[in-house]
Amino acid sequence: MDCEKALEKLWQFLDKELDGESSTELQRHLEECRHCFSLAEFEQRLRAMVRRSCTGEHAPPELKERLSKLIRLF
Amino acid sequence: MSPESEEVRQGNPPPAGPGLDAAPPLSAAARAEARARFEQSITEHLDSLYRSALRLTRNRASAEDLVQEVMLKAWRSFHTFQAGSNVRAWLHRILMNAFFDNYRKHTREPEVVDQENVGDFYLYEKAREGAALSASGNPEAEVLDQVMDAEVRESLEALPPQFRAAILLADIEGFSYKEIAEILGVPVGTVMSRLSRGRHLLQRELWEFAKDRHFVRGD
Repeated sequence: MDCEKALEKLWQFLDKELDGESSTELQRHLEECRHCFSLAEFEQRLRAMVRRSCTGEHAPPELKERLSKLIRLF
Repeated sequence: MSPESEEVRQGNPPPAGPGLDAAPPLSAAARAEARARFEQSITEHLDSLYRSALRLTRNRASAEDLVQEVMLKAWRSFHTFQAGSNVRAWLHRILMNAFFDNYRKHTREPEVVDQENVGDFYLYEKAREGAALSASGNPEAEVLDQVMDAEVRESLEALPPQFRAAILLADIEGFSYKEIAEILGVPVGTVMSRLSRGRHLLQRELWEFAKDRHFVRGD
């Protein structure tokens, strides 16, 4: 697999949506190609950052209470 | 209706779960049982629903109203919900439908159509360009360290809603392409193109926050 193909498939790979064979090939390319490896690592860190920035938020207690009250009326 | 016929109807398949409106009438006990199961599902996924609602509406009060609307709609069709199905995906589908219905009613903005893909790795490339100006050892990684959580949320909220929805479902809520396609009611190919376009746009937004600090540090 060359760099162009690898980068084309990179998101699918990181999303764990690439089939077994392509995934193995891409994995091998990343082991051999420093540029693609470093880019893949960057994208992975970026996604972790996006996730972390949003998952710290929780539904406010007032909302929980409001919904519980409504459910009691069902 | 006689008590017998009610009993018979309750015994009939499919007993996926009792509902409020269209479903067969329920005994008090069955209704209480359904309500308890429903409440458990809502409670379990409330944080996830609220986060998604907040990213979509960009406003706490509207997010709370949207979650409430989702809950009322979900209860109305709870009897059609098959036990063992993915409750979180089902609730997100209701959430997305409700949000986009409201959005279309209240905005005059034309919906953004999927556009052809442009460079996927914008932020990385920008960071590397900046690397030439930077004295530090690992400038690409530093770009990420310099962006604050609140700025990431702001960047996400700056995206057109179709792209924002795809990103939050994939990158924050961790749904698969197939689940996202079902939630948004679009083909998997559309999910992939929205993700690709959305991630590119997100990287451009993030760069706006990162670049000043990045170049200042690179002086």
